Amino acid sequence: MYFLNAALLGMSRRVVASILVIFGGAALLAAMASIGLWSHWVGWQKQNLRASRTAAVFVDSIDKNVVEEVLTQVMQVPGVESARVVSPEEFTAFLKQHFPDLAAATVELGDSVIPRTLEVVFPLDSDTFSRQHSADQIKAIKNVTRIDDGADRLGAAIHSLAWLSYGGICLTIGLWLVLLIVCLGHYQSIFYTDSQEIQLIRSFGASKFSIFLPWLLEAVFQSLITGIVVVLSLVFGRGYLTEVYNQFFGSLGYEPFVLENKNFLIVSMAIFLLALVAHVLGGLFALMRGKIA
Amino acid sequence: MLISLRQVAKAYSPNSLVLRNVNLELAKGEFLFVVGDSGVGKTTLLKLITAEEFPTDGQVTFDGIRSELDSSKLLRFRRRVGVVPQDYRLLKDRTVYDNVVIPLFFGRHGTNSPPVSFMGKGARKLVEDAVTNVGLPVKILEARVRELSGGEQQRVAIARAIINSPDLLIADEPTGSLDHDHTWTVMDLFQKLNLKGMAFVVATHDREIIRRVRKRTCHLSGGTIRVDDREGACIF
Repeated sequence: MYFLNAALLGMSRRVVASILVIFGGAALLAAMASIGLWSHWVGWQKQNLRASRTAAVFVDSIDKNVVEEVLTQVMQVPGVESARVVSPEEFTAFLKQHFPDLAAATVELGDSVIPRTLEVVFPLDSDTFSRQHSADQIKAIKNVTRIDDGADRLGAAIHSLAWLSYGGICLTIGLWLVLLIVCLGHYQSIFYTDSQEIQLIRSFGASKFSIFLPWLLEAVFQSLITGIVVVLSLVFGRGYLTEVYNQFFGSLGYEPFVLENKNFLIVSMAIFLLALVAHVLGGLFALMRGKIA
Repeated sequence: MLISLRQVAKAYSPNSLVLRNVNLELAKGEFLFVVGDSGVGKTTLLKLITAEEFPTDGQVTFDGIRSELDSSKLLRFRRRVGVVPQDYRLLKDRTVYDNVVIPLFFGRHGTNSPPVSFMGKGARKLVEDAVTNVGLPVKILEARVRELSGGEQQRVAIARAIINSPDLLIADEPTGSLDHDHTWTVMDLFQKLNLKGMAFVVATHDREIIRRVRKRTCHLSGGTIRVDDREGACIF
């Protein structure tokens, strides 16, 4: 009970410093969580972007039977996960969305000017060599005029995504280190101001653990409160974050950002853990630097 | 022997020797006054005995444990020692209860007092007994230390020192801020506890106390023990 009282009393005696550390830490952790999630999503996009493993196969005929025949042959090519016919309506809708002038022209000229295409999807784990081999086999099919590989088109963009992801992860780690330094400074100042009390309890035969326990409890409380503040801010800011992320991803035609409840729970637990580790490590470093115990 | 100092010297800086050639032994249950002029090294001697300071030269042992060698045994020894510092070392922004209860939570190995649970069950009664023994009312427990007079603070420090029923109580000028009546309340308590087997080392300037209590008295002068009067025959 003494240790609990000492921890609570310590926080109330240093209420301004405690609030600053809690909200400063919460701001850092919220930024960290946002950037971390973004980096993770960018990494995921790099691996899972549907467009990058999709190829458009152009057929040199508008005859439905010919197109179906090409589709059947494409499906038999090794390394093809799935294939489907892109309907003229779907193609027109795409043109309307991205190239309205071209769409208006095709309306006047009729369906016959719209190239018949197939959308071919390669497996997630397919390597460049096997994909190229599959693409070459598709090109060799009768009535196939050309194949437009998404990986080739997005190659440079995917490379940039990888660097963005690494940059985001570095920034996330950097923010956590800033939090650790903030905690170190906070606990160092606590140990300095409480040095009389530490000296006193040491004179009663307190072990190092007993000396550190009240500050450990204080660290646990502060990290819990910090975690709650961050999780609440993410709960309320989740919609906004999603919108901001999708402004970026949407502009490049990538998969929309979605944060499912299960993942949100994992993120929340990670936030609590990171806050706790930063506070406890900060306290231990401060204790070692001060050589108080 | 409970405490043994052999050829002890203590210097805080190379050219200022505070204590030199100090030899002292204290048996279990013994009562010892340490007297001497201001600045002669009484407080340093007490700090050596509590292992708050370590000797520059010589050897200090506590119940057979050498202070500079065994830190874990030293911790256990400290739990058997009560200390009343000259400056009281009270936590001024805490209540009297919070101050007096502290020693109960840092291990009670080797002490004679009944156990207190981790959650503090049983602590209240021990704190009340301790403050009553030093002549303070129980209602003072909820007061903050900074609101108390010097004499009351001194008695709170004594209550904190005796709450664990230590084997040894070390007090540096424990009656320096007390009026006549409270001085004798405290000294009577010390003598009662001494009769129960608690050893005492008390540094004091008060000649009347030494004359009336008549216990072993060591006279410090020039950084060493000049006279060790085992009969307490009032040597100064």
